[in-house]
Amino acid sequence: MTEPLIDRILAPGGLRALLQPVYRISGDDRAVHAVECLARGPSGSNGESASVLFDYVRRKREEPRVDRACVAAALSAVREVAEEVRICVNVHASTLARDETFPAFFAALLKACRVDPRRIILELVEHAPALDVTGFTRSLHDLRDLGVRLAIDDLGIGSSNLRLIVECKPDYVKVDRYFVSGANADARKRAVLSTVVRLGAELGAEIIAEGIETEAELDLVRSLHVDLLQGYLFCKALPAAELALREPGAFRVAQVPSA
Amino acid sequence: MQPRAYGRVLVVDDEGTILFAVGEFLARLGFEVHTASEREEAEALLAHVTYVGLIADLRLMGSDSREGLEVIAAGRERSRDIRIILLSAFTCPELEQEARLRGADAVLRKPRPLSEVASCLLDLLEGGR
Repeated sequence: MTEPLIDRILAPGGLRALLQPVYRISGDDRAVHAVECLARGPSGSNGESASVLFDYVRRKREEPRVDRACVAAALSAVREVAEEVRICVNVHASTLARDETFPAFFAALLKACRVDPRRIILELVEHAPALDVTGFTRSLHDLRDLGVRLAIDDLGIGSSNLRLIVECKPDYVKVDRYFVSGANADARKRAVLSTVVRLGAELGAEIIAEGIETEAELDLVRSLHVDLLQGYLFCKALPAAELALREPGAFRVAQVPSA
Repeated sequence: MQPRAYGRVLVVDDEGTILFAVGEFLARLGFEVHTASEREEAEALLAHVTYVGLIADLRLMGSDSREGLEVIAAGRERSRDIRIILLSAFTCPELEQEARLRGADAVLRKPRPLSEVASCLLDLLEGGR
């Protein structure tokens, strides 16, 4: 009998986190506003692909246990990230609904890793068709009390994004890459994109456009006044050590002890 | 002679040795082989990866269930063109009929020489459903 993938995922070292920068663009200037922690499953397993990993986890209904392991791997990967850079971590909305002890777990983890909760942007991913609203709202309240910021991930994809926007009052809204990819040449995608930008502005949330891969897509989102951008055009997801070489300003400067 | 590239195949079985043996055999023939040992793992792969062939065992993770039927149904739902073989140690006309209704193109009784499984897959890929 082979070892089930879920056991390999949850084993120590089963998950690792890559980091992808979210840039704030202002005129010709570009600065790392945040790093998103992206989980990858065990080497050599089908879980190395993030889409397969999380599809599998959702089919197994193991989001709460795996989300805990993911945030632990994420906080371990950002130890050397500079204080002024925010940290995006992903959590299923269904985890918050089903696991009311998640906020306490997360608070303890932040404390143990010495990460200021105010640096955290918790990206809520929603795939479940229905949520236990009571549990979800209570968890959100507890997380807000910690000081973390909230983002709606993958807006436009999933089951109940718009309801999620109303209920969680996000600080950020991330537009799914589907609506960004090729939007410069697709009037329908452009229409959705500009509507989401207006919606974000009305709700007081900043928009993050993910999946920017071409100069044409960049020009389009900039023309819509989206300043927070993420995508291969700038930088793909990398291990922390590789990202530190590429974006040294986003990492702590090694302190040389005085003589 | 260089192996011919036949495309990507998913093999689903809860026995690691079977996965390894079938995978190696098909890889040597020129297939790119992916393997899964659980229904959910197979379904997640089928949702995100395109395959030309699916070979699934009826019973997965040692249970008495018939989860292989769910896997082949997921494969057929994903693609009309994928060629699907169900392997089972226990076959009967009723099972064969149900498997075909769920999307199988062939039902093979185990144990079976690897060469016969591969021949069956190749025949299906060459048009003989």
